[in-house]
Amino acid sequence: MENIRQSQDENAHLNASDLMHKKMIESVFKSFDFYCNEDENANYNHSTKFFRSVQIIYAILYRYLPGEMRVAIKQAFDEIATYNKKIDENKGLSDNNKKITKCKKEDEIGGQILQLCVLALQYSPVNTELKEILMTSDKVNFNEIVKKIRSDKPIGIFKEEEI
Amino acid sequence: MPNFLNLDVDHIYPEPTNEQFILSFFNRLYMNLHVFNFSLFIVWFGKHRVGKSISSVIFSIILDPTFLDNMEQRIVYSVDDLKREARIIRDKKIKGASIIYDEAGSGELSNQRWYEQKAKRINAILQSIGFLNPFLNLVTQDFMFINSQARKLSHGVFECRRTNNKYTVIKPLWISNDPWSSKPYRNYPLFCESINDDVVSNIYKIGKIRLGRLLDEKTEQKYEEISKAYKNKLLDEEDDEGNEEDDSESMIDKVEDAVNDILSNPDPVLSRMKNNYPVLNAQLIAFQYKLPIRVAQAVKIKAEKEFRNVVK
Repeated sequence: MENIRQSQDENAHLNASDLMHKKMIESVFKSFDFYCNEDENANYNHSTKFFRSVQIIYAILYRYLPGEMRVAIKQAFDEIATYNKKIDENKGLSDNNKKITKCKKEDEIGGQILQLCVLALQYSPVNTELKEILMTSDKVNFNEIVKKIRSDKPIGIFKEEEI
Repeated sequence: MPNFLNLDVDHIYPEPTNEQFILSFFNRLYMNLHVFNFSLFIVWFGKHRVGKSISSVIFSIILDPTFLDNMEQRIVYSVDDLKREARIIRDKKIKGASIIYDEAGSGELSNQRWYEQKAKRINAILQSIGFLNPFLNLVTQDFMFINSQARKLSHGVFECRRTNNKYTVIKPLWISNDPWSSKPYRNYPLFCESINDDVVSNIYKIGKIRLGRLLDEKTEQKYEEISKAYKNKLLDEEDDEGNEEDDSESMIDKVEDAVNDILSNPDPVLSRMKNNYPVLNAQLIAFQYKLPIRVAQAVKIKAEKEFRNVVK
């Protein structure tokens, strides 16, 4: 009986954890457009845009990934870099063919990276980081920062957690 | 962070900066007071000379644009002054006005004086003052020095420490009350990154605020003068305590008078009769003869004893 209860508890924990991660992943995907629009050089064709998206996910997730996942993802990126170099060296192909081949490969590896990122997110807990705010005269200009703080609209990139 | 494929990930998703943390933390407090119609009661505690009061002054200057011009009046040392300032804030309709109750642990808010009428008055004021959206700072050496109601009413407890002359380290904690337990519990201020309410990031706990000497010399001096005036007054009052004997003598006279009066007519303060002896009510005695409750209790014991002697 106790085992059953324990297993139910574990499942409940997993479900809650899944939900949280699903929410996180959704929010990361939603933010693509924001970042793509922010980028000045965002004139990509479909395939490059996809690869760009993967890069952006990676950038977003980088700070939250456990060490091994970072290594795996870095290897995947390195693989693309090596492949691109080889493509560039292959002067026998026409420009069009080179581009298609390159994009195909990028799509493939980009997909793997995406999977890795999602997996990493699923299995890594949300980190809690203890921060120290430095408000000393060599770090901030007091009068200027006071002016900024007294804003009637929320400023900064943070929101206060409601827990 | 390394750049892969010439991708500047720091540009795409940079690490949050110190200034962003400062802006978010203080702006949140500012908006609570000035936009969301909340009040903010903070208890500052720490040992002597660690910079509690100066830190509360800096916070007040940041969060209340009217504080600096009225600093002399807004730093108060008694309930009467606090009430005066609350009235001014109400009449002038100042939102988010900061009041610093300095040395709160030794005044009428002291835990040791919980039984006094003034303590009850200030607790009533603290409970009802919220509609003015004040930013009330209670400065004391220990959280337990102030009375339990004030402790429960406070939103945050900021612990101050100092190891050098350059800055004070403040540990900010929000406190909540558990209705089934007398002990409050504490939370770190938590923030997470948000862009268009979409990105969930690490959860950042604000563990410490390193607050340097950000005030100009003139303001610091002004505070020192206000503080010294009170502390000198307190010291002088202690010198006058040579007259304590006279005070206690007059109190003894009052007790004697009250006892004699009760012996002649116990009815106004009579609670009940027990074995033909009158049992008196200390609260009624305190009310009738305008005595502090502890003195009234002494009167009750003395008078009851006298009654027993008379009957014998």
